[in-house]
Order: sequence, then structure tokens, then C-alpha cells
Amino acid sequence: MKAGMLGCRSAAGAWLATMVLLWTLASVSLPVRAQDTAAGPQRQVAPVLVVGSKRFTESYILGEILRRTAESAGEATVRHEQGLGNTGIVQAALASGAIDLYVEYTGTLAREILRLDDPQDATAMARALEQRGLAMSRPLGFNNTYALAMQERQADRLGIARISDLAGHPSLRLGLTQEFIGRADGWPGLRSRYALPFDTPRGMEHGLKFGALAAGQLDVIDVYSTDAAIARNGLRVLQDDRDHFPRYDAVVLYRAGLQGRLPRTWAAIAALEGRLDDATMRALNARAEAGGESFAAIAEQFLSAAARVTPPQATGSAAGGTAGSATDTRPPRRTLANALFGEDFLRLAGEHLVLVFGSLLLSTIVGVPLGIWCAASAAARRWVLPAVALVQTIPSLALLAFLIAFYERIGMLPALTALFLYGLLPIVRNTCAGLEAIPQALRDSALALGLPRSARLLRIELPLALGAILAGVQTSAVINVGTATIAAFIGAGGFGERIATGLALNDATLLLAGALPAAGLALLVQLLFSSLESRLLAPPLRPAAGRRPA
Amino acid sequence: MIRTDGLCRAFGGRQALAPLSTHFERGRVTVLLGPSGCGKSTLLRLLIGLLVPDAGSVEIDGVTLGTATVEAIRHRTGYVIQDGGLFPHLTARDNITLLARHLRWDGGRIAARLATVVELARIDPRLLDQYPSTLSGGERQRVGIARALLPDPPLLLCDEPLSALDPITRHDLQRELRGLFDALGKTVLWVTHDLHEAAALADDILLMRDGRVVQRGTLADLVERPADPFVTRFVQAQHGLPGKVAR
Repeated sequence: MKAGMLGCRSAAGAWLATMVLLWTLASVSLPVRAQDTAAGPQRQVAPVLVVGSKRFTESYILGEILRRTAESAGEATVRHEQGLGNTGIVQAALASGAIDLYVEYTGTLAREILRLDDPQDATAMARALEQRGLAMSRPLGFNNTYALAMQERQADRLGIARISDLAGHPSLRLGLTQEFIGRADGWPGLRSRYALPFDTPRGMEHGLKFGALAAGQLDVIDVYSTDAAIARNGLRVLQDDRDHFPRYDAVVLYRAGLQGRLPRTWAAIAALEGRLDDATMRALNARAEAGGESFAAIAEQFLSAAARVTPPQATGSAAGGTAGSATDTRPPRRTLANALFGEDFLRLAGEHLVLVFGSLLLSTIVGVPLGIWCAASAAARRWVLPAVALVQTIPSLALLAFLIAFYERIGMLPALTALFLYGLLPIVRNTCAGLEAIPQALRDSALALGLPRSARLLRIELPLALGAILAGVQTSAVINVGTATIAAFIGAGGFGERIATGLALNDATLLLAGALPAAGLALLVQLLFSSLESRLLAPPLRPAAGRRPA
Repeated sequence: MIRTDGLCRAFGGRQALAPLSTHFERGRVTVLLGPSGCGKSTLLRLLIGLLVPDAGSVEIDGVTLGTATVEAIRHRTGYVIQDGGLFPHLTARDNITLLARHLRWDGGRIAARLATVVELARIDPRLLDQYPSTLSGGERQRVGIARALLPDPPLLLCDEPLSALDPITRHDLQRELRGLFDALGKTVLWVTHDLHEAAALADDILLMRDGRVVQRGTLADLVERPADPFVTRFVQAQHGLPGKVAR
């Protein structure tokens, strides 16, 4: 039997070995991340505090300021989950306890999160927060309101100074962030308040709008009033002459009970109240976007400068402070090579690999049996294939937001699940198609030999369909390499971290430093599967053999 | 011995096999002869459970074919189709020994039986490590026959196994196989549309048309005592047939 079995056994063996390797990879890194994310009051040995931030410059900086401040209290291990996708994802993270606090804006809170009728009603806001188990600090000082902005020259030429002036220029092209377009306090309210004659404009990534405006492809964009890019690009901020936008005072939003749990830490954070005015915040943003300095360094400098003016509230030992510090995603902006192979390269590559291959492993383990079932049963084909195809149509951020709520945590677990779901379709479909493509004569021959179902599947059908199955797994892998970049929006890391940060900072170098390794990884995956094909497939079934079975 | 009782099967309203009650004797070569679509392959596939009959039953050596018995019956039946029905991902050796490996025969037994069937089917042992795609048509057919012979089944079902071969290879194999069947005393059901092949192989011929047996007998019966005009036409259409083919 030795020689006889070799073809079949060694192929199956290699396959199994690969799978075991991937599983090990995934399981080694998964629990670590899972444990990290399981921060919460129940951990008594070393209390953990998780700071969150959204995916734009100011939020990153404020997140770092909160982290450093909390660390200085020396009471807890502090981690910063930075650049979480959007308000929905940060809210889901906060509600589930995956993060403990982050900086939010009162206008967003009132209109978008709590859906209050009167955004200025402080008591109503406090009550609504309490119902959700949340609380907020007093304002940090600056008011980062939404605003519309245009190129100074064009605004001058058209005589536009106020938002109401826009009504006379229906041909202007608007570019707004998706979040602004969808928010109650954003585009819908603005349009009706000013009776603006525009269709719902195209949605754009915040960091990309300034470039499009400068290139003359857009005329009007939404900005944050503390955007450093306003001054840098010579933009005119249009006056909100009908008072549509509420105040967007920055406040620390946190899970109720934080003061009781970590009193010294809270005292340190509360000391930030009123300390960041508009000018300070704009200057910090400008420094971040000018490049060369990490968010951590900017936060550090702000805090030490502030410390010289006011004595620190809590002078805890630095010992507990550094333990859980999040590595900053931003390498100094020098050359692409520096950005590419910054010190975070190995960590990001590792996370990306775990995301891609961990999810791929799950997709394969689940997808191949589903494909086998589909090939065997018309009913399964009718339900399973459309179901896995439907998953593919769910927008990634929506799926992630749902999964965060489902798991009550952010990071690796929801990201892996999303990628797993996205990876199913090619595998299920190819497995099913590969099995169905086996000629009837060969099925009959296998039956006529008297082989039972399992033996026919393992010895004949799966080896014959293996080429198609591998092609499906490969498609999933390549798709996953790309899709895995969205994992950064929920703090699961990977090269998407650079892309998300690069987008937030409008930093093309950083963007490339994330996109290039992801593309390289996709190429590597292609190579890996070519070599898998030549190892696992019987020689006559290999594509290079040129001769397909009859 | 094989016995069918009211065995029938339709495909989409067309009666592929009208109810058939007949029997096939042990140790004889019976050729199922007839034009395309006459039901000869359907009958063969019903006998080994590749098709489920609409009605009727099959009994092989006293065992009724059914879900509980079909696997055991298949282990005692060799099935050979055009081009051998070889699995392209397995070498000639692995194709031949597949069933034995599945049944977990020990290595010595497999090797011994492999040597025997390779010799019976006159396969060059150097070809055993090749994949079907690199073998000639005749070689593939020999491998298919060796695979069918491996468990030493008393019954062989052959569905036009030689149809794709060139005339010389085909002629040689027909003579060789007839000798082999006689030597081994196998019960053989052989499907073909070729009267020459029937002449070379058959002890007994079932001439079929539109799912029915038109005439059963020897070649001489068909030539000299045709049951109806169709038999005459079928015999005459295979021109070049010498007048005194009867064995």
C-alpha cells in the first residue's frame, strides 16, 4: 500500500500540515489579543483602562493625551485603541466595554448619539447618558464645530461668505464625509435649514477632500473648525448664519463608574477640563499633519508644557504607566522606505497575516463542507449559495459595527469573523462547482467499485476537485489581504493601520507604506498558492500539465 | 446467475427499459447488442445499482439488489467502461489497487494480486507508475480491465469498453479477452452496438431495440432465423459481415 497511497496521502498530509500551521499561528496570537481586549472592571490584578479614538488627526492626538494623562496617575495599565472606524464603531466599543473612554463632541453626542431635540439642554443630555451607563466630563475647552469651507479665491470671486450664499450657486460641487452626509446634525439638517439647491453630494474620506478641493475637483467641503488644513490650504470657512450647527465642545465620554474604579486616574483626566482652547487644538493638529512627529510625541509635549503652567494633579509613579502603552502607528514622515520598514513593520505584518490566514482557515474549514453539501443537495444549493453571497453584499463597516455589538468587544475577534464571512463565497462556490464538474463516468466508476460515500469523497471527488477548491481558497486569500485593511478601523491592527492613519492625515507616504506591503502580501499569497497547487495536486491535474482529465 | 424480474426504467416519459424478466447463466458471455438508445446500457447500469429501477428487481447469485446489499454486490462485480473509467489523479497502479486499499488488504496480498491481474491483462509493469493521461487507449483499457479483475469477481459488466480503440487494437483485445473470460470462467455481460464484436465474444446475444429485447440467441440465430425485419436490417447494416460467421 505504501507506494500506492503516496499520491493521495502526501497531498492530504501537506494540506493538513498547512492547516495545522495556520491554526497554530492564529491560536497563538488570538488569545493574546482577546485577552487584551477583555479589559474591564472584572480584572482585579492589574486594572486596565482602554482609551479609544476615532479615525482623524484630532481624535488620535486627544487619545494619546488621555492615555498619557491616565498613565501618569500610575493606577492602571492604559492602552489606546486608536483610529476606530467612525462614531458608530466607537459607540459600540464603548457600550460593550471594549473601551472605557474617548473624546466626543457635545453636538455629536446630542444629535447623533442621544438624538435629543435640543442639543443645548445639558440636563436632558446628562439624563440620557445616565440611562446608557455613560457620563461625560466638563468641556476640555475647544469647540470643534462642523463647518463648510471653500477655496478662499473661489469664494472671493463668487462672493460667498455665508452658508446661505451657497443657495445662489446650484452648480457648485460638494464633497462631504459619509458620516456628515448621514448624520442628523450634518447634511440633511443643513440642507433643509438653508434650503440648499444641491442633490445629496458624493461621500468622501475626510483626509482626501482637501486634495480634491485643491485640485479643483470639488468646490465646497465639510471641515472641522480645528482642522489644521484650513490654514494650510488657504480655505474660507463659511459663516453658519442661520445657526444650524450646535456647539461641538470636546468632552471626555466614559463608562459610568470610572471615577469610583480608578479615582486617581479620573482626577488626572478631569484636570484636563478647560485646558485645550481652539488655538491650542488647531496648533496640535497642524503639528501632527505637518509630519515628522508622532501623536504620542505631540501629546507628550503638550502635557509637559501644560505641566509647567499648572502643577500636575496626580503624580503617580511612572512604573504602572508604560506597561500597556500602545505603539504609535505613525513612523516619522521622512522617506517612503523609512515609513515602509518602520519599527511597527513586523507587528503590522504579523497582525495582517493572522487576520488573513486565520480567517482563511476558518473560511476553508466551514466553506469546503458547505460546498460539498451544496454539490450533494439541490436544496442546499438553493439556500446556502445565496446566503453566503448575501454576506458579501453587507458593507464592511456595517458588518463590523454589528459584530462589535454582537461580541461586545473590538479588535481581532470581530475582524476575523467579518473576514471569515467575506471569505466564504469563493470557497463554497468553487468547492461545489469543482465537485459538480467531475464527469459522470468517473462518478459511476467510483460507485461501481463499491466504494462508500466517504471513500468516494476522500479518494476520488475531493482530489479531483482540489484544483477548483484551491483556486477558491486563493481568491478568498487575495480578497482577504485587501479587506483586512479595514480591520484597522476597529483596532485589530494590520497594514490597514497605516492606511487609516494616512487617510486621516492626508499623508500619501504613510498611505503607500500601508498599501504597498498589503499588495506585496497579495502577491506572496498568489505565489504560495501556486506552489501549493504543484505540491497538492496530482501531476495530471496541475495547470502546467496542460492536459485536463476527460 | 443473474435474474431480473419486471425490471424497468423510464427517463422523462421515455421508456428506456420496458419491463424485463430474464436471466443470465453463470460462466457465459452474453452480449447486449443494439443501436444507440436501445436500453442496453440502462440494463447494465440497473444491474449494478447505478440506476434505480422504476419497478422490478435484480437478483445476483441469490442476493436481491438493494441499498443494504449493493456494496457487497459491487465488490463481487467488475465494471469496465469506455477508456477504462480510470481516475486521472491516480497512477495505473493506484487505479488498479484502489478497492483493495480501501478494503485494507495487507501489502503482500495487494502486491500478489496486482502482479496476477497485470499479467492477466498483459500490462507492461513499467507502465504502472504512469498516469492515465500518458497511456495509450489500449493501455488504459487494459488497466481498466485489471482494476475490474482485482477482487476476482465472478461477474463482469462491460459497457462498450473497446469502442474508442483503433480497429487493430480492438480486434486483438476482443480475442484476448474472450480467451481470458473462458480461462477464468467469468460470467460476462458485454454491451456493444457492433455485430463484429458480438461475433467475437458472445455465447449468447440479446438484440435490443427501444427498451425491449427483440431476439435472444446465437449469432447464427440472428442471421438465419431473424425474429423480425429489424433484426435483418440490423445484421445487414453491419456490412462486410461474412455469411458464415456462426461459431
